[in-house]
Amino acid sequence: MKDRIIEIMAEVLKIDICGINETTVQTDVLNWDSLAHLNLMLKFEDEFNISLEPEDIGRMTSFKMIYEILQSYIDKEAN
Amino acid sequence: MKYYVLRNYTVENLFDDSCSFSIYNALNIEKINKWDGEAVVCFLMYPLTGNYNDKISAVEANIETLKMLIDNCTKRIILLTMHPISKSYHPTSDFKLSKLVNEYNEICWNSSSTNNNVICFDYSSFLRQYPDCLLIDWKHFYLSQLGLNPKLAGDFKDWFSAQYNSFLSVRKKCLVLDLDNTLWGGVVGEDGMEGIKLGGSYPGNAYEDMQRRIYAAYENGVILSLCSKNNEIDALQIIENHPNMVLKNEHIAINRINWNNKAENIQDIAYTLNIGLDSIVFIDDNPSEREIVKSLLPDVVVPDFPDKPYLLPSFIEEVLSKYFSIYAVTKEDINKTLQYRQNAEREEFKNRFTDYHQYLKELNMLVEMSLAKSFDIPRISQLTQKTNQFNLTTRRYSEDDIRNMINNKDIILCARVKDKFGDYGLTGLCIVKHNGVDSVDIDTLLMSCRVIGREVENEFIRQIIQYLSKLGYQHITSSYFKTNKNSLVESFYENNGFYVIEQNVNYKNYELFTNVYNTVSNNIVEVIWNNERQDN
Repeated sequence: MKDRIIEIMAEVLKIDICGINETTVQTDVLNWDSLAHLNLMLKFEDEFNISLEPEDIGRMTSFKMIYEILQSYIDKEAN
Repeated sequence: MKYYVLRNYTVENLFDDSCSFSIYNALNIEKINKWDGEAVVCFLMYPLTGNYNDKISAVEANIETLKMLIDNCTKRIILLTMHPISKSYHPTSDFKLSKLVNEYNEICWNSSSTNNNVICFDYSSFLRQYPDCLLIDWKHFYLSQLGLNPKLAGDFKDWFSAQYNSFLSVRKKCLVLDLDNTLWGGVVGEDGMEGIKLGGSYPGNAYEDMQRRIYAAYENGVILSLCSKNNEIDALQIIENHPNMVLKNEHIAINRINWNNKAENIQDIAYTLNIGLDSIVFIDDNPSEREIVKSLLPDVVVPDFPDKPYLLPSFIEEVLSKYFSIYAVTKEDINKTLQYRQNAEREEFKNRFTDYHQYLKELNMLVEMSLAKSFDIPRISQLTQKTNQFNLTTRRYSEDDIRNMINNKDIILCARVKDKFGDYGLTGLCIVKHNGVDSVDIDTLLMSCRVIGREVENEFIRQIIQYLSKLGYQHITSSYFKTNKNSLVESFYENNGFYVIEQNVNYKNYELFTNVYNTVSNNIVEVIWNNERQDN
C-alpha cells in the first residue's frame, strides 16, 4: 500500500520515485501545485475505488496524511 | 497535439500536458496570436453555477468572447458546441436560455462553414453517450471547477482525437461487403429473388435501412467492394433487379463474387484498387469467414457482426463513425469510387498487352503542370496529410502552412494527371524552398498512389528539375525520410539523377547540379504547362 502510494505520487508529480518518502510534505515538492493535487486525488479515487470527502482532500498534504486517510477509507470499505 | 485552450472551467485533465490554458473566461488575443502551437481550442462550457438569470448573463458573455475570438484570431480555431447539462429553475414557457445556447452554437456552425480556419466539433456527440447524472461530479466541480466528470477524461481525450483525425481525414478507404445475410436476409442460391429479405416488413426493412446508411458512405467517398461466395450471375441478378436494392452496380468499385477464399479475394481487391490492406474494413455475417480473414490478413479490420437483423443499422453507423469519419468532403473524395473503378478497368486493360511500354503509350497519359493557385490550397494540404507511400519526406501541412509558403514565395508545383480512362485531378505535388541565391531544396515531393508506377513520377521529377533549371537554379538539394510506408521511394532520387551526399538508416540527403543534369524523356507521358503565375 505505502509503495503504491509512493509510485502514484512520483508518477503524478512527475518526479523520481526516490524523491518521495514517508516524510514528504507538499511544500517540499515544487511540482505539487493545486492542479497536481487534483490529479493526485483523482488518481487515488480511481486506484482505490473510493470517493474522498472534500475535507479529507484538503488535509492530504503530506505522505503521512495521505496514507492515514486512504487507509481509513479502505478500512471503512472492508467493514 | 499542442493546443491553446480557451476555457471557463478546469479542463486541464482533458488535454495533454503540452497544452496551454487561458485564465477562466479570459480571452487574450495578443497572447493567442503570438503563441506557437497547433490550434486554439475554444471550450466554453454551459454555465454550471448560479440561477437561471445568472446563466443567461454567462452565456451572453460567452457569445461575446466567441465572436471576439473568431474575428481576431489568426490561428486555426477548434470550436466545441455548448450543451445544457444541469437544471435551473424557471418558468417552463421561458426559452431565453435555450435560445442563447442555440445562438452560441449557430455562430460555431456558421463560422466553421464560412471560414477555413475554423473547425467545429459537436460536443453533444460526446455527451450523448452518457446519462445526465454521470456528466458532472459536483464534489470535484465545487472543489476544483471541473467542468466534466473526471471519470470521463480518458473517453473525452479519445473522442477529441477521433474528431481531429476525422478532420485530418485519417480514415480507412474501402468497405468490403458480403452479400447473403449481410446486405439482405437469406441466401440467393437457396431462396432466390423472391425469397430473400430486403425491404418491406421486418427483417427486410432492417437490411434496406443498413444499405441506405452504407450508401451515404459511398456518397462521402468510401469505396465499396463486394466479396461473396455465390454464383456471380445470381448475385448480380439481385443487385441489378431487386426493387429494394439501394446499392447498385455503379456504386461498387470492384466485385469478387466467386467461390475463392475470401482472404485471397480481399488481397486481390486491395491489389487491384492499389490500396493497402490496412485501408480495408470487411463486413461479413459468417464468423468463420471473418476468422479466416482476421488470421490471414491481420491488417484488415473485421468488426463482429450483430446476430439480430434489427441491430444492423446501428452496427453499421458504429463502423462508419469509427473507421470512416470525415470532417468535410472534397471533390476528390466524391469522385473516388469512379476513379477506383477506372483503375480496375485499367488493370484488365493491362492484361491484354504483353509489351508494358506499348501499354503505357496506349494509356494516353497527360500531365498538366502548374504553380499552386489559392483554390488548390485545400487539396494541397489534403495531399500532404494523406499521402503515405509515394511521399519522400512525409511532412504534413495545414492549409495555413501552405498559404504561408505561397506568401513566402516558396515554389509549389502541382501535377494534374489524366489518361484514357479518366481524370485523376491534382495528384502530384512538389514544394521547393530557397536555400540561397542559386540553390533550392525540395521540401516535399509526393504523388497519389493512384497514378504512380506508370512513368508519371519520373516525368514529374524531370519537369521539376527542368523548371528549376530554367529559373536559373544550379543546385538542388533533396531528402528521403524513411517511414514504415514509403520504402517504395527509397531509391527514387538516385534513379533520377540525384547524388547521395549523406545517409543513415533513417534518411538520405541528395544534391543535383542542373548544368550536368542530362536526361531524355521516354515519350510515354505527354506534358503541358499551365503558365499562369502563383497566387499571392
